[in-house]
Amino acid sequence: MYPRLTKGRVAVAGNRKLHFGKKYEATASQLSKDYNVVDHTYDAVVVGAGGAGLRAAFGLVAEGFKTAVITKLFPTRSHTVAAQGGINAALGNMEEDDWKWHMYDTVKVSRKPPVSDFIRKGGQAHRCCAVADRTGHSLLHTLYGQSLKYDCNYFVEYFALDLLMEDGECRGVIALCMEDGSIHRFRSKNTILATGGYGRAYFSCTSAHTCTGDGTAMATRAGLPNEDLEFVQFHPTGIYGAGCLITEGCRGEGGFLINSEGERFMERYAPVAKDLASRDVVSRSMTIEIREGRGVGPRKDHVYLQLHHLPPDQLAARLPGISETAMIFAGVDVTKEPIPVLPTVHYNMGGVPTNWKGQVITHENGKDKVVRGLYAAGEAGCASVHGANRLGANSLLDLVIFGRACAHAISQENKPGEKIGDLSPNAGEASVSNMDKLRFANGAIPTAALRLELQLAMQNHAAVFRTGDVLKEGVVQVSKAYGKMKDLKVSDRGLCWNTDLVETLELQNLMINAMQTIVSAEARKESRGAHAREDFKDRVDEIDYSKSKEGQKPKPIEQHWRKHTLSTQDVETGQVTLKYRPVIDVTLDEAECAHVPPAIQSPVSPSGVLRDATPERSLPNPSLDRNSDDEHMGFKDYLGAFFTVFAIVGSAAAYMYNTAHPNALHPFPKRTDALSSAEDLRAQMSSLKSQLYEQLAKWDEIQKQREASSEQFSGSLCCKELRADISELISRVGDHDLTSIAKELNDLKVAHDDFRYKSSEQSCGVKLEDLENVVESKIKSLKISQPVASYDVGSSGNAAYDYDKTGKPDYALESAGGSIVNTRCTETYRNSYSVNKIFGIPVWWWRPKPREVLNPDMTPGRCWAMSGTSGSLVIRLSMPVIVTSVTYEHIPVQISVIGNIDSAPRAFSVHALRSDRDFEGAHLGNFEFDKNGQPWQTFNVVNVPARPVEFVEFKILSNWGHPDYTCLYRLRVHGDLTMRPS
Amino acid sequence: MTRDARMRSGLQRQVLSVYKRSLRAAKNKPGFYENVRSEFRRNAAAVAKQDVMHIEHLLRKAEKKIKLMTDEFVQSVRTVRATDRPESK
Repeated sequence: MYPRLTKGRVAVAGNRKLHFGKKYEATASQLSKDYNVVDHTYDAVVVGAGGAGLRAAFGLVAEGFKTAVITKLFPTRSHTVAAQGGINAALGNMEEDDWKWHMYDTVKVSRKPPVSDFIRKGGQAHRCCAVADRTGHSLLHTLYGQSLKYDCNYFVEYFALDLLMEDGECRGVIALCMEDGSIHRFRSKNTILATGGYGRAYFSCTSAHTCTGDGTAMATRAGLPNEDLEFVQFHPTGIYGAGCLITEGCRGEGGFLINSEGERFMERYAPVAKDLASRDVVSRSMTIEIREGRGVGPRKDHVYLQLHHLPPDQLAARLPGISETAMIFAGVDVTKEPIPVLPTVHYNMGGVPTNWKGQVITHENGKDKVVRGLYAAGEAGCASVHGANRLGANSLLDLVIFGRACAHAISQENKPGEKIGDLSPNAGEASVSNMDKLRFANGAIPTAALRLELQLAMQNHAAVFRTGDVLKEGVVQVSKAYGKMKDLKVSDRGLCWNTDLVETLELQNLMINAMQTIVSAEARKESRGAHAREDFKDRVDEIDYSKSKEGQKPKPIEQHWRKHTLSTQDVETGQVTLKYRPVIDVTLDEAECAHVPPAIQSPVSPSGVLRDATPERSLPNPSLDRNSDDEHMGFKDYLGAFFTVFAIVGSAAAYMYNTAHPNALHPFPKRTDALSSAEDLRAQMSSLKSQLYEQLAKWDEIQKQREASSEQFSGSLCCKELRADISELISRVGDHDLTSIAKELNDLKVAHDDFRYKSSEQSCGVKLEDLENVVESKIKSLKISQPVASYDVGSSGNAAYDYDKTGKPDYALESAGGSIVNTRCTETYRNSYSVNKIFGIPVWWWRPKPREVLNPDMTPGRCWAMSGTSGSLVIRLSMPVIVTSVTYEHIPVQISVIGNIDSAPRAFSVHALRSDRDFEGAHLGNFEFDKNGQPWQTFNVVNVPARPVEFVEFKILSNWGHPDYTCLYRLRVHGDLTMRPS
Repeated sequence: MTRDARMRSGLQRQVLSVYKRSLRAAKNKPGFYENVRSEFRRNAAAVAKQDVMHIEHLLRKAEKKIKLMTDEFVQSVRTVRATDRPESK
């Protein structure tokens, strides 16, 4: 507020008086135990204004219900805003799709361990509707805008304290207005909880600081159960401290994790797939490293993700967002330092149990019972659509579906302005007392300290690495932290914007959530979805679904774990009571869409085609689902082997290239160096060979496993071929028969493509398009990184041009670093339209600066349009080379301004310039284009320059002097490297 | 207009007007009438006449409260006494 200036005293900055002076600070009214509680009455109250809350509110006001939305944050600041991925919808606009397939995927994912992002991505991309990476942002803003159109009452920056329960039904909520500390009771016929998750119960989470599970805690305090809180989805790499996600693509690009000893520890846990192992394997390995004391940092509680061994330009091109995020949130320059990361909470599958209408339920005497007047949606609710693990891009879908479902259920069963049951006069007194108690809490532990203690206990004991001892120890630690709530210290006694108080209230909520999570996790003695226990690695269903159903007697519910956990808690003592609820197996309308059985014996469809694309089929053939987890893991190993082979093949390619073109690429100017490097090369070759053998052995083993399993795997034939190719390759490596290796490599790639094609017909755990993406990117990165190991030629350009026809890279290629620097004394077009029209492609027309042109039909590069018959072009090569040849490629186009005349190139001369300001330069030769020859023609330079040249000028004569002709050329410059570039 | 009224400052007149409007707004909402009155009396006694900033602050608060009381969804106000507050050291 305003500093009070007293006579004769100067107000000093830093000694701000936030209140009006001592006189008024501790008046009776300020410290009074009496609180004024304002009563409001509405048809419906929504707690939380994130996606689900807004969707519900918007649905309610549209139906004419008087609705209040209570939120501790301004609506557009909710965590929904941060959802990047997208929202799933089987629109079928990209390719054939069906919502039943979506359901199938959701169910499948819900049962199995988390899948790596980069495995999942492509598979969903076509079902995933997105607004760039700001889907949540745009969804939330749209919803907020919509709800403002109607008459919706927002109570922004009101902190909901408790539900008001009367006779087992919910009649509203009590909330604290954070601005002035006033308390409000909202009496309403229906209340919707949409408060989000409780990621902040863990030390590292991707969610906002406000995700403190207020709704679930309120339900607990109201004596209601929470469901499946032990299922928490983790992401392996969040930035330490901030929790921001570092995409798994980083590891796809070649990044890896290291521990405090600088060891690349994933090699120990997943010798084959290494850092590309599945999400849960990576997360668990990281946690084990940390637990065994090999973590980094002062607390030794995280590890490093190293990227700086990758070329900086690759980082800049492929991971620009990561570079930025790492700099902002970890202060790390990814080209020089590793990023501190640890497994991070991503989503809470559990929450307040609801039915499909969003109505909150309890489970009594073997039956679900609706809690009247109470609904839940979004991350706070648990309709169990996510099961034990959430499919990517399904969270936003959850929001809109259950937000809408709540609104629908309310509008179906109620009318606006209906009579509402009375509140007892003392309703909410307990909440007020609780708040007052915390406000005057006078113990020893500051809120922030206790919160950190809780978060660390949860992070260390209830994160990804779950085993009996660890969880038990965690239960003890969290209970201890719970007990310390009585010894809290809150320093602010005020009421206006008392953030200390609000954080303490939030801590109370976090405690409740954390306690139930860890107790539920300790009790669940199996591995299912995101809950993976080291000591109980298998899923325990009522029958063994890997075998035929017949003859198996289902176990009673006490003996298996295919059931929901329902946790209630004595808030005073922290004691958690667990009950269990059977899973609902059938869909709402089995006739329309049959349920997906948990796992199935395998009747292979007669055709042998595993996933039929016809929409008449009700569901994808479930035969694949048998032991989907094992299948999945097996496939992962398989993939890993694949990658490794490709890595080896890639390095073989590099060696081969080195040896085949000693002049072109040999970096050693001296003979002795060359000799020693040859030795080195030989040694490397032999190690390569042994690596290949090793790989082959692994390959065989995997193959054997595959064959042993009864499943038919359509890719296996291909794999055999591939295997043969590899052994062939081994023998070639031994013989130093390098040219044939090159050919072999190519064939291998073809075989691999074939494999991809065939395997894409079946849908085993991983989507095959994703596999394709991964392998593609892997191949690309190999192509980039392998030659880079020796020097930095524009190797991606090499990939595009296939080393051209000279066996030498094109140093003029733009994507490799070459550029047009000048077009002196040349006439050009001044109008982009006409140029576009003439050439049919976007070209660089008259402009002070060259324009980037990306045309799908052209290799990425700059085009530049010259008007008239002659022109000049100064090209800066990607590095200084001894120019040996130039290629003049003529792209025949049948266009000209006056009619349909073939274009006709004629001649050009090439000059080597000392700098871009050099006008004369050394003449390299005059060349004439052979009219009847190939479209591309390579000319050897006549006067090979003695020194490396960086700038080359082409003086071009086109069209045989005819002004109306038009030509399109692509120019390339080849040469030898003489020295190692600095 | 009485002589007294003319003697009042602008701020005083504002306070009185806000008080009047508050009482009017509180009319049909149980609890508010007493609430407004007691708060006015308490502040009138506690706040010094020359403490203009504080008075202006209270005026703004009162305006907000009028808005709250005139809200059709607001029913009443009651006083709840907190129990078990920890002893201050």
